[in-house]
Amino acid sequence: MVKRLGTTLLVVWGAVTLIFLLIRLAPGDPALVMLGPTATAEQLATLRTRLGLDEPLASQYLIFLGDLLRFDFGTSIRLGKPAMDAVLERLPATIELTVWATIFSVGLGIPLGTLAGRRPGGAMDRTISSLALFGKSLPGFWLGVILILIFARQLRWLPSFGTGSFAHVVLPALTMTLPFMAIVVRLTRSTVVDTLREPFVQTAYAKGLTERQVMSDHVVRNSLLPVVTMTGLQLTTLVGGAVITETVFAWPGIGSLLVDSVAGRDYSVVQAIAIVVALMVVLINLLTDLLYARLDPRIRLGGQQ
Amino acid sequence: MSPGMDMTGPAEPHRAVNWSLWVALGVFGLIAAIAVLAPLVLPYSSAAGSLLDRLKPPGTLLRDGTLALLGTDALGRDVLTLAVHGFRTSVLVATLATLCSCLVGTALGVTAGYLGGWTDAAISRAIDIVLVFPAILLAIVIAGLLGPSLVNLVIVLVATRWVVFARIGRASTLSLREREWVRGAFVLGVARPLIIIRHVLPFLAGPLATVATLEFAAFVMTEASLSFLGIGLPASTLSLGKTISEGREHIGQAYWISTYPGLLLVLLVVSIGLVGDNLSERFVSRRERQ
Repeated sequence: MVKRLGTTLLVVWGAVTLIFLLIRLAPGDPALVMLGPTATAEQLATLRTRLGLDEPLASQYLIFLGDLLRFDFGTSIRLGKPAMDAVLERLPATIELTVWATIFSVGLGIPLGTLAGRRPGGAMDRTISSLALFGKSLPGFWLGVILILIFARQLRWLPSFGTGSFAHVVLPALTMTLPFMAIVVRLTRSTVVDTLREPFVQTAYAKGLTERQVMSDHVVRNSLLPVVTMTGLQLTTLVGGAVITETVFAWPGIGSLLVDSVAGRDYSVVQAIAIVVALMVVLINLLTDLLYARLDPRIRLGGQQ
Repeated sequence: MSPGMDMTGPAEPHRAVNWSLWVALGVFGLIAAIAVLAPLVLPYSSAAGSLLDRLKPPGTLLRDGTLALLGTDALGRDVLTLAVHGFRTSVLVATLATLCSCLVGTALGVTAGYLGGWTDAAISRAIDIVLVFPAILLAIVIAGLLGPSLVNLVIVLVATRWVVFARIGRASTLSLREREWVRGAFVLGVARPLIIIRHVLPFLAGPLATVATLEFAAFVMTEASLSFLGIGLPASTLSLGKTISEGREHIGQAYWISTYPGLLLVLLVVSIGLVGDNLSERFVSRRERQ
């Protein structure tokens, strides 16, 4: 566990360094980029000094790390406030969307995947698997536009943008859910198919249990663990999906902030978002590992594998 | 989206698989044909399109006598022509990105797997670090920094996805390294680079082809997403993502501008996905038999 934490810290440090290098080594003067072409030479010089751009790269890096440890992510010139404040303001909206999408995907994906895996190659399996392949291939931004067209423009059931009520969450969450649910369905299906080949399933049938009992008590229970773990590790995909979805629905989360900041060359915010997302992903992976260890008696009780 | 996950799929030998592979390959061939031959049938000129023909529904006969099968956009341009040319961009970008990331990723992965030790530790940590970022986030950040151009877009895609090839290359090499013929070659004093080229790389073809297929689909999606956001490609380049984004403004009156190019995109990704699934089933079953 200590080793695991050590690796995690190393990866976080690496991710932070990667972002630093990307932004500092990119072509173009960051000061010029931040102030735009109308800036005077004097303004440029002031900003360069303030950002520490006159220093050599190594000392810039040390200053950058020092600032990070004090939670100082610089100031957003575009928004006129500390970059981290801007990000933290928007973060709850993204988390809200991601949580709903996770609930929908797992809540629907696991039953559908089980249904498909019960009879591999059967009609139900082929239908669900084809739909899952289709769902996995839906580009999030297009799906969002189509959902707006159908449910907001034609049927007028749901709002196409804004926040505040559950109705506002439905379309963006659905846009994130469908492709991710397809992943959960495929994962569940293949795990269930694997579990069905286990000897204990034959034993359960031999005991005279009905198919329903075998499925719910033996197959699904044993399949859940890998599915939950893999889903946890795949959440990165979902967070990536949030970036696109938020832009389509003008959802005020960090995804739309990222796109606006990149367009507005607001690199202190871009940097802050990248670091927050990296931390979130690392944290989710760590929690998934811990949850796995907690749920699996073989690991919990200290056995090997 | 991660191909690593898809390969956990078991390989039950069902016969229904083959026809779907052929259908997918057929669609794939059709796509390639469209991408190559389209300009001959539907030449694009940026001057084409008359504002008098703007936002016409599918099947309208335009003023110059041509039929707009999928309607026209806000500038009076034929949506089918836009979609087919955008499609060409997708296929071109994804092909370049797949080739480059396969080359870079495999080279690093095989080196890590074969040499082990510090080299392996360094490359493996680098893979972990890149994987911490959702690919699309990293792509947006790098694309924003580099500015729009086709070459930059390919660089962005390679920079975010080489890890997938590196991971599979490393894992396969790790197990191949211990096989008899590789050890035999080593004992006989064959030089390391030669061992890698002659005795390791040929056996990576299956897994790499699988990953390449799935990554191709991922690249098509990422390119379209970035173009949708208005980053990545220069404004003059036609792209499915851009057409869909522009159609969004007129979604109320002209659903066809966004809908049909998107369907084409889905068709492309689904058919590639089918080929990829078939490949990964084959690859996994072969490994299980060993």
